[in-house]
Amino acid sequence: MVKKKTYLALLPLTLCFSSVSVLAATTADLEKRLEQQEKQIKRLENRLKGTRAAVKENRSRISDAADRLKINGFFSGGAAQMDSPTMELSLYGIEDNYTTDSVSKMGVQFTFEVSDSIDATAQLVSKGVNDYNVEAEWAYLSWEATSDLTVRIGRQRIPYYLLSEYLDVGYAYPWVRPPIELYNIPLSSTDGLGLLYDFSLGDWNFSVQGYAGQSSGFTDQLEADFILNQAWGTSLFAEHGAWTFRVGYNRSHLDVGDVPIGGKGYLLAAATDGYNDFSQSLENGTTGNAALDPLAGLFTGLGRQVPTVNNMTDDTNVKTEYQSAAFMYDDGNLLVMGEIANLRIEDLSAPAGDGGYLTVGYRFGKWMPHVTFAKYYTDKESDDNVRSQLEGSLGLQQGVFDAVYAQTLIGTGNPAVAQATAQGTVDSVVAGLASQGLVLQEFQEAWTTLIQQQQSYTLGIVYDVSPRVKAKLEATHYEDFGKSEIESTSYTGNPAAPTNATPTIAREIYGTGRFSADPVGSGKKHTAIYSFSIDAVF
Amino acid sequence: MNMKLKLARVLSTAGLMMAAAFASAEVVVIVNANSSINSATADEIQQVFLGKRNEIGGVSVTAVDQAEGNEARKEFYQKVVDKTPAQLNAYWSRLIFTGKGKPPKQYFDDAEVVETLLEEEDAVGYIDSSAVTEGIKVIYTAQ
Repeated sequence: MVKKKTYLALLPLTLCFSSVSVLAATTADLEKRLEQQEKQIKRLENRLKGTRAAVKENRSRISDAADRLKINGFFSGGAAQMDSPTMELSLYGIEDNYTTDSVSKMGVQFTFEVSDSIDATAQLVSKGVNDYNVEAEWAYLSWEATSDLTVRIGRQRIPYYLLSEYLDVGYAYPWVRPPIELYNIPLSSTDGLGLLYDFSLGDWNFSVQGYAGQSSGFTDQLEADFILNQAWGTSLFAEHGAWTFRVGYNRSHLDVGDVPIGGKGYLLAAATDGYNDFSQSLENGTTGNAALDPLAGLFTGLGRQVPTVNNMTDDTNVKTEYQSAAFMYDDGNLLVMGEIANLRIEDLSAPAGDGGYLTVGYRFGKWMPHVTFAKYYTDKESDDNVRSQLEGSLGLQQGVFDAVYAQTLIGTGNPAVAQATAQGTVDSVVAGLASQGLVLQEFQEAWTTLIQQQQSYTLGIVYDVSPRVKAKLEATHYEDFGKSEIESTSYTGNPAAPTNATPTIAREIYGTGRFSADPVGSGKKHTAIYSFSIDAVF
Repeated sequence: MNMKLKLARVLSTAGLMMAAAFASAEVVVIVNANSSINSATADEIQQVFLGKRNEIGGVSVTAVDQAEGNEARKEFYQKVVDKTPAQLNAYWSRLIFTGKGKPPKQYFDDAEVVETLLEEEDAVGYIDSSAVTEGIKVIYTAQ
């Protein structure tokens, strides 16, 4: 202990001596060292400068690459349920049970700036309703020819509707899904060439769009693939303050592909083929039903033909036209939007007609309640097409009635009637026809589902969870599906004195609009869909 | 006279300070001082930042935006463009996902916007008025 203390006491003295010796020895040496230190600092400074420059360069290189590649995405998730056990909205896969697939979808868009005026864009979308298969809805190269004119080559959305180009981006519109009365064309993209031209006149901004190409799709109505050839269209947008107006015109030639066995198109085709086969065999006297065979003789003997109908499901090169007009008013608080559209399909009895909707919403801070009325009906031209098909079957029934009636009027004096009578009695002819009634019934049912109408009321609310996320809740009531009356000639009472000589309404089939009912005719007079979704963009 | 001058100086200094204090909550739209644009209307600025127009008074411009969450950005879009962040995102998502437009590039803060404007004469940005420096011209002040 004592020893240590002594050392400590001596320490300052020692230090003093040593420093004195250093001072004495090297003033010049110190200056030299200082100089060296300064050089060292300068070197380090230079190196730091170099590093800084490198970091800066790196950063700009990274930001350059980041600037050139843009990744954006969107997402929707939720659930929807329909309140009718026998009805289904196959376009979205919405049924009696809660389904999440009907709402779920996700998309990622990559845009790469190839050069100052050329961009490559791909949008990959995965939807629950398509079993989450990833599909490229957009995949194109765009060239900004001038600051106002852009040319696109590749896969693009067909501008059918006001919202058609961002149909999958739930965040961008108020509903969980756009009104099905109008937004129902089962195809979205075309492969070809597109042009976009922007211009202004005073306070109005205009945008003209044109495209030409080919596309393929899938129709739920026929459950078949189809191809649109020589498809082209144009649309014009006009914007002025809170107002947006749009008109569009599209045209194409449609080829329906093979209808898969068991699908709706197949059933329609089978019902038609079945009916035609029956008519044919009747005419040949080979129905396999001895009671019916004499009927053919009656038909021809009375100068009538056994009617056949066209099987239109395998049509090709059918001209289609789609026209639409829309407006939107959005001043930040009040949102009003409406749209009408007309689809025409020449020579094909697929449902074609008019649809439209009107939506009004009002923003209260983060909440926006909204209401929508929508309506849709197949037009007269389309309905007439269907009816002309049905008339074939009515013709057959009428023919039978005429034949029976003729027998009672003319008696066996008419050779045809005499022959028929020789082969079988009128009563057995009628009974035989009744046994074949299923063929007629299927045929009639299959075709009457192509006459459609419906209207709907939607009440919904949107809540801004964050600037990039919205939550939506809505209920839609669908009604006014209409009904088809199937006429038939009923034969009652004594064949010798038929009591009913005119076609009467034998059956009423309730329509189901855009929905499908299984079995046919089991749909209710109204139904509803309840939906919830979370929509985000990122 | 001397006293009066002093008083005037004191008052004007105080006034400037007060002005500065108020100005700090003010968003201004700016361009490079060498730009031939001297003023712009709210409509013109709104359209430039929504990608609907690429010139002001015949002079071509490029909008320079700020990062989401910045005070200046909130202020600017609320007062000048008249859109909430949700409305703005809905607006851009309609254009982005249809390939019809790209939102303006976002810069980190007021200082980075100023730096960019000093380098690029056609750039138009917005910053808090307190961040205005030499070489920058104010063409619009948010009310």
